[in-house]
Amino acid sequence: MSIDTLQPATAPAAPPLPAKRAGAKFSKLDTVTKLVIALVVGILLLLIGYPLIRILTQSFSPEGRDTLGQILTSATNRGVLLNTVALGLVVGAVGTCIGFAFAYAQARLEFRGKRILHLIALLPIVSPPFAVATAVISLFGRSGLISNKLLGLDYNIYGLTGLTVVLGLSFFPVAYMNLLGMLRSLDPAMDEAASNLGASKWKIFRSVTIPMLIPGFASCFLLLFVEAIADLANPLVIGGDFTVLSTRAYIAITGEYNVAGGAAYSLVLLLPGLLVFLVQRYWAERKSVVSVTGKPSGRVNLISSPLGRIPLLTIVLLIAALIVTIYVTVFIGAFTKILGVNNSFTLANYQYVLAGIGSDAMFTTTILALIATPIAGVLGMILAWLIVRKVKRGRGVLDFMGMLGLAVPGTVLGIGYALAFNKPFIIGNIQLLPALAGGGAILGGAMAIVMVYVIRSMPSGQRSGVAALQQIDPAIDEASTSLGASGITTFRTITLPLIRPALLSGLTYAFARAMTTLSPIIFITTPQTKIMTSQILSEVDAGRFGNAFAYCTILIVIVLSVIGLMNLLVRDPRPKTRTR
Amino acid sequence: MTNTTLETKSSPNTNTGEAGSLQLTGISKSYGGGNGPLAVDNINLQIKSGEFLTLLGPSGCGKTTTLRMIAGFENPTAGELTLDGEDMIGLTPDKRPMAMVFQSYALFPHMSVYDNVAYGLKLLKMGKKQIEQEVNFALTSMSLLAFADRSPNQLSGGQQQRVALARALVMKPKVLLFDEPLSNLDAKLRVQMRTEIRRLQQKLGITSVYVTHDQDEAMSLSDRIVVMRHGKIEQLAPPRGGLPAAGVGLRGGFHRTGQLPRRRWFHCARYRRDSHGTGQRPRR
Repeated sequence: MSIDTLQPATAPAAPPLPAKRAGAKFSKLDTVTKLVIALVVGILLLLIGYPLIRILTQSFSPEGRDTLGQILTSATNRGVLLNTVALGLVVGAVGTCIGFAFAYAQARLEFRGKRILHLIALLPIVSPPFAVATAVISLFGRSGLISNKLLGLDYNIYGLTGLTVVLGLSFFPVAYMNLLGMLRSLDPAMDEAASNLGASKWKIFRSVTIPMLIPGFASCFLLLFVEAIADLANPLVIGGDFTVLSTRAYIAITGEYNVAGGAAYSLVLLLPGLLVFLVQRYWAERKSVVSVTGKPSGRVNLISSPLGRIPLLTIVLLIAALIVTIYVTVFIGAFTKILGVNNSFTLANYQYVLAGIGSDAMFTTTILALIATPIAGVLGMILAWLIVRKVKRGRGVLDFMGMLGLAVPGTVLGIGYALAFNKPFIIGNIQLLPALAGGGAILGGAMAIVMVYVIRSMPSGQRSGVAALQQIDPAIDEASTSLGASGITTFRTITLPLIRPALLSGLTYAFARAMTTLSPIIFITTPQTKIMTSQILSEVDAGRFGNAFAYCTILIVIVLSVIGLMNLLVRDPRPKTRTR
Repeated sequence: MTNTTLETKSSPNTNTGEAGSLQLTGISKSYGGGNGPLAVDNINLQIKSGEFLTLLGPSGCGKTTTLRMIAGFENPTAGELTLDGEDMIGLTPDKRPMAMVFQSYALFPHMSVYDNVAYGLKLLKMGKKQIEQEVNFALTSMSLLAFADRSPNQLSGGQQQRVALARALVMKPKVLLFDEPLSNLDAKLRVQMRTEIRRLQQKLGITSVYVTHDQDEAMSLSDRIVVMRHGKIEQLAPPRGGLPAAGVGLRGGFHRTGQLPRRRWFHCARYRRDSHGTGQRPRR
């Protein structure tokens, strides 16, 4: 789920919250604010706290403890664990390198077509999880267009190689965005100082640029590591015999009906996920030597000598060409019967997705995402407002609770939801909630899906909200209060309009993420409520790549058009004419 | 800065804000729990109705904290605060009949000048007609009517400052609070603005509490000056008379205490020098 990782990249401007800010102290909380806090905390507990608690209790139930015990003792499970770690390390390294190559070319090399290269690098972010994997199979699989038809090789892409290619290409945009932001905020005066002291360009690169970026490399590597080990979609499609923890948990639950075992496997996934999240957010960002002053001094001297440009540009352009080929494959594949076998033109795939049985999933997914998006956006903004402006003690806890939806791997979240909401929520004899997920649930389980969308996409709203709020002078809030507005009125009439652009971009990401999420959804979809991403998985499983490609294209089109629409809305931040 | 029409026209608002008298009794504030060092230490002050009182002192002396406690943005750790005999402690800022003019102006950037000034009146659920009258009156009196439809960031610093003042005045507060409102203006404009503030205040007779580190400003504006240091009131005097000769007065006043570290004074003096022309005081 490449989109899941977009935020850390696009919002590097939101540093971890300082423990205490001088000059802005809000000691008094009015009753309404207290109620809002209680409500938000309640929602967070329901959406993320309870499912995680269920994972813990299930993991430490007798069956769960069996599985936990076997993870290190049984040879098979040790293999799974090793596979997972190996995958994380390789993808982390490959993705960071590709990301850095793209970022360095973008920031420091002189060539034409930078804008296009930038868009190509971001393409994997807006695409659904299988697009890359399925296309890579079509191109390089056993009867792949390039590997078999073109080169005549009998090549097996399934396994670690294929996973590395697919995950590397899917996740490198995160590293790219992070490192690009860092490279751009490096003070060019430092390069000038080094060169003034007699260092060559190559020397500057090795002794100034690279050391300054080391925290950035570390943080990208960790992010990609976690993304890679938590991913479920790609290992299912292209993993072959290469079993990792997430697929193991999936098999335990869907194949062996061993829920406690699945919970135990996912617990093993959860720990590194949370650890890396904490390290990345509260340590790496603080250690970073990159000064974010928002005012770059001077201009960077772009590298134009062929010796510096050609090697790097060649690599970058080759990768970019691969990405383009992959998406062209998706596009063409959607119009062909069976790509590589029967290449005749057909519209049947689109007919299936747009008008046939498949259209059901398209409408359901879009509607559920459209329901979840505003909820996630507003919730994220309120949370950001509480964190930055209202809550003094415990803001760290509140921030962490909100970000949990992003920090917890999707697979873990999905299993937690299946555990928590498949049965009615009963305390004593009182039924507090009916079953929200699974076959017997109300509304065909749609509610749980919306809840997953909300908790999964809320952190992006929260982050952009925090970043936006920290740029607004607290005196503006105070001026409003001083003129007689209560806390809530101030939020509605002053704060919310001011963070509207952040809110909208948060909403865009929330929507894109909701539409392309698979791993948490797959555990709670029901026959009544079909979701596009899980439909794509079953099409791929059944070998109907054409339908899968058509789904992917439609999904990309929906996401892109919503992003475009939002961008149109975000523009024009001018004050409205007066309202009399 | 053409002058106000307040002298000729009277405000259409019937609810003329009566000037209030403020009483601070044993007000103290400490940050970081009850036992931390006192930012404000046992302040006792009686501010008469219609009086213009200035809190003067170097940065970190507690003057802004005192003002923010009066406004309700900070809660005193100890002490009493009454307005016309009514207890203010525990009231949130929006419930207190006071309006504040901020150092950074704090204009709402997403609203026009008109909407900025009308903001508080709308919250009072005043009728549209009346709001229009009030706002136009306030804007006219500040020579801002031509800018009513502009966005605040299309205005100069001085104009922005006048919008902020109009926005506070239109509320007819019982007490008007100023938090170094002129420190972001250049020297010439500052002198103009303080004359204007003083004239308006005397015309309307609003009780005012003004915080500044600029001695000249304090002298030219105030009925009374409270010199603060280390969270305590060091001197309380009318602008002329109680203090030594104007100009060097406060500097001498600070010195004679004999306790003020020189470095501290240098800090303050630097601001003062700034106030005569070049830079601006760094924002809080």
